[in-house]
Amino acid sequence: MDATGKIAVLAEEDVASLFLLSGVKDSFVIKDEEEARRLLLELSRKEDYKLIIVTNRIAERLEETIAELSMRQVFPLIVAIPERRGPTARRVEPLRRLIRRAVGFDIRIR
Amino acid sequence: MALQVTRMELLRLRRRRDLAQRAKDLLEEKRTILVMELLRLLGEAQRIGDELDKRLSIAYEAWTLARTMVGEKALHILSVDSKGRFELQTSTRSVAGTQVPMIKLLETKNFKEVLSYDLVTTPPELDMAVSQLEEALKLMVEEAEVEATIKSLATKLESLKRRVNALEHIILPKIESNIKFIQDHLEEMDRESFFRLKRIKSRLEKRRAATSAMGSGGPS
Repeated sequence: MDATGKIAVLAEEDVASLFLLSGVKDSFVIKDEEEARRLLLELSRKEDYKLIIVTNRIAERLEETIAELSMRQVFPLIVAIPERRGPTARRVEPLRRLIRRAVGFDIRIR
Repeated sequence: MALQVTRMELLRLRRRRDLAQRAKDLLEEKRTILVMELLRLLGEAQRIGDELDKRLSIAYEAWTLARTMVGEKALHILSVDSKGRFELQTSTRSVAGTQVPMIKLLETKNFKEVLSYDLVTTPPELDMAVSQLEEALKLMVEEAEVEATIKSLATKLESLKRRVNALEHIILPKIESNIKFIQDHLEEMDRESFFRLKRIKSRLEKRRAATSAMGSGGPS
């Protein structure tokens, strides 16, 4: 069940332009939250976008929309990246919490 | 509660209990496997995330330099000209009974190929920015796959937990109490019939003793 797909990027101007130059054609400059949300929903509806990259700042403001989309379908995958250099918020923490919740408190190790 | 108090029913219940117990053991094994896989994936996510941040840092820094050197207008021309040269290949695979996404980055053209600008004039910072971003892009794809896998497996783990709990706290205890109920009643029935037999036996013996006594001391 192989399929091909496209990448889209929603980012601030300097990041989007880098992606654009590097060969990711569908890189969109985001100026406000509403536009970002509308675009994200529109791209998610299209079948051919399998990966959407957003910057952390956008991801924070669209947290609920992204969470809802992730629950609804597997694709498109949505991943958040830092928008400037330097240490970033730990991306692993929400995953760790998710796992801890799913594991519960009895883990049998044989 | 229409429960037949028969040995047949007892046998049936015992068999059901064994099945339920086996099912529970199997589910718990699956849970253990899933937990180990999830922990492993968590480590992967951490590793990929760190590497990704590093690459992006370098890419961003190089990009900032490149922009000052090349100038906005030239960059704009470059960007507009640039064609899409990345594609994704997606599929799914099965892990412990769940469908989990697989995604791979394909580079359909080289950066140099799509650049219509004169290569000699592009600064090394630009090349650096683009090549680092390429590496970062691969890592983004990996990270997306790992994150999505973790989410799918975590959901599966929760459903396994619910099923194990249902077996442990509802189904098995119910079967056990039914077994006990039947056992107790069968025991009681056995005891009753045992004593009934004893009574009948003793009555018979008394009658036999009485008739033989009468027989020996009968009319002459």
